[in-house]
Amino acid sequence: MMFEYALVLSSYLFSMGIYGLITSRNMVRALMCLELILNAVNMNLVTFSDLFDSRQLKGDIFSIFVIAIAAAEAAIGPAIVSSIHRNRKSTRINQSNLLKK
Amino acid sequence: MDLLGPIHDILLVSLGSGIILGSLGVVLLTNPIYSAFSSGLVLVRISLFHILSNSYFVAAAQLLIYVGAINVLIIFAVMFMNGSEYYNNFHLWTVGDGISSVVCTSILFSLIATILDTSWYGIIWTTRSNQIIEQDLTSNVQQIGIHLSTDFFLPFELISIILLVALVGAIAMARAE
Repeated sequence: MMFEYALVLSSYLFSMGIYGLITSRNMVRALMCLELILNAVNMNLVTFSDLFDSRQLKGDIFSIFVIAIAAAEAAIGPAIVSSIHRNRKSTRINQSNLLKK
Repeated sequence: MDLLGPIHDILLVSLGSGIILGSLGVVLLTNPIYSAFSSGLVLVRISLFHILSNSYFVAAAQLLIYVGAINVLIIFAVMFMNGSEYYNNFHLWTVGDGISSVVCTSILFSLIATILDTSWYGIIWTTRSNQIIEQDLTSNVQQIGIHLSTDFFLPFELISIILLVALVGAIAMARAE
């Protein structure tokens, strides 16, 4: 019972993150929705590792790798956003045309 | 975690409702600082959820890294770039929003139908029969440490290199020249 509950909850988080990532016009909010997607993946990995592989726990190790990648992404993302904000005075996604000459 | 049945169910329902409302708040709130704090709420709830599914090390790492580092960094970015532009531009409901909400809800319901249709317990019995039934002597954290230093040693070192490169790249990009 708990297993299906966790899977449904993580699929809800995933689709919510996809929706926010598509429709948000603010870059920082897009980064937050990306964190939601990574957390949904982590919940799936931890739940399957608890159910199917409770002796070796390889799903937990993969979720730790996902957390480390998310930390690297969260260091890079606000740096890019602040660089764009310094050049364009705006962080809206649909107004960033830095490549236009 | 072995708790009593009603306490376990109450914890599950409260954590799940908190996660659902918090992720709705992350996406739908108009002020980004509110959605940043709401995402912090969601991350704390997810960490407690990992405790309920017996993986304490991942729960601690989630609480330390996500809530302690990533969410603080996102709140810093919101406060650093918070202008008056968010209040001038109202969040209009456009056609693209409607289309993407329809697509995402259809994805969600097809996933839920697939999850409820699959017979997970048959898969559990076939995988449990392959494993050797023996009492494991080490705890979860020791198991993770053994795997990280033997099987997953190369990805572990690559992760450290990636973190170093990300650190240098973030400093080089955010520096004003």
